[in-house]
Amino acid sequence: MAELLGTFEQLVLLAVVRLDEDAYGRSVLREMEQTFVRTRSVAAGAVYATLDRLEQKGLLKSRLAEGTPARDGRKRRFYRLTAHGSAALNEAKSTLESGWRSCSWPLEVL
Amino acid sequence: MKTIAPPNTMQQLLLALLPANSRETISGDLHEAYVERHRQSGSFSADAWYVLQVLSFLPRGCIDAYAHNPLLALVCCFTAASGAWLGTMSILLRHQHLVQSESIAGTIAAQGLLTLAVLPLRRIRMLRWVALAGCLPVLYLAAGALYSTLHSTDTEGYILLISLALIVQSVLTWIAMFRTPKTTITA
Repeated sequence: MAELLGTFEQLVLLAVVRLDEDAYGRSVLREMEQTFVRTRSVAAGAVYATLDRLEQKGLLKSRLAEGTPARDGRKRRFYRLTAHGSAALNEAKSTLESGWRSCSWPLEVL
Repeated sequence: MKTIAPPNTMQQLLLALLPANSRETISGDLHEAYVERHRQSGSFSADAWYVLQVLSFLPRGCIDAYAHNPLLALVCCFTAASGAWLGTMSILLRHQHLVQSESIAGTIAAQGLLTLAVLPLRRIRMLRWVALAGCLPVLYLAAGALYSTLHSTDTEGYILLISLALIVQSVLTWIAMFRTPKTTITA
C-alpha cells in the first residue's frame, strides 16, 4: 500500500479535481473555503505548502500561465492531477470506506 | 480612481517569506483575492484577511530558513538560553553589579532572538543590517570575556563556552546575511 494521504492533502487534491482546468492557487484556496471549510478562512500558507508537497510527491503537476490585470499582471501556476495522484486519491477513498464498512454511522457519543 | 492594493508592508513581508520560484504566483494569487474581498467586504476586512494570510507563511519561512542555516539556528538558541540563564542567575545570586550583568545578559539573549527572527526575513535589507549591527556589541562582549577568562587564574568554563558560542554566532550571522539571494527587498 502506498503512503496514505492526510485529510488536508485529500481536500486539496479534491479541490484540484473539482476545478479541473481552472485549478490555480487562488481558485484552490477559494474552493477549499467555500466547499470544505465553510466556517472559517483557510490559511493560504498551509494550502501552498500542501500543493508544493503534493507536486514533489508526483501527485500533481503544474504549469505557469500569464497573469491578468486583476492580479497586477503576475503569473499564475495551474495544477493538474497526475495518474499517480488519481490512484492515491482512489486508494485513500477506498481505505476509508472499507474502514467504515463494519461501523454504524454516525458513531454513538458515549 | 484609487488602485486597490494590499498594505505595502505586508506585501514586502510576504515577498521576504516566499521562496524565489513561487514569489510571483503566490503574491499574485493573494493580490487577486484581496481585491475581490475588498470589493465584497471593505478595506478593513480585506486588510485583516491579508495580514492573517501573510502570517500563515511564517512557519514555513522559519522552517526553510533554519533548515538552510541549522548551525546558526542552534547556536542562537543556545546563546539566547544562555543570556536568559545568566540574567536569572544574576538576580538569584544578587550579583554586585546587577545592572551591568543584566545588560550583558540581555544583550546576549536579545541578539540570539533577533538573529532567529531575522533569518526568515533576511531578504529585507534593513533587518539584515540590524542583525549584522547587533553582532558588534556581542563580539565585543565575547572578546572581552574570552580575554579575561584566558588571563585569569581560575578559568570559568561556562564563560569560555558562551564567549566561543557568541563568536561562532557572529561569524555565521555575517556569512548567512551576505549569502542572502540577490533579489533583495528594500524596506
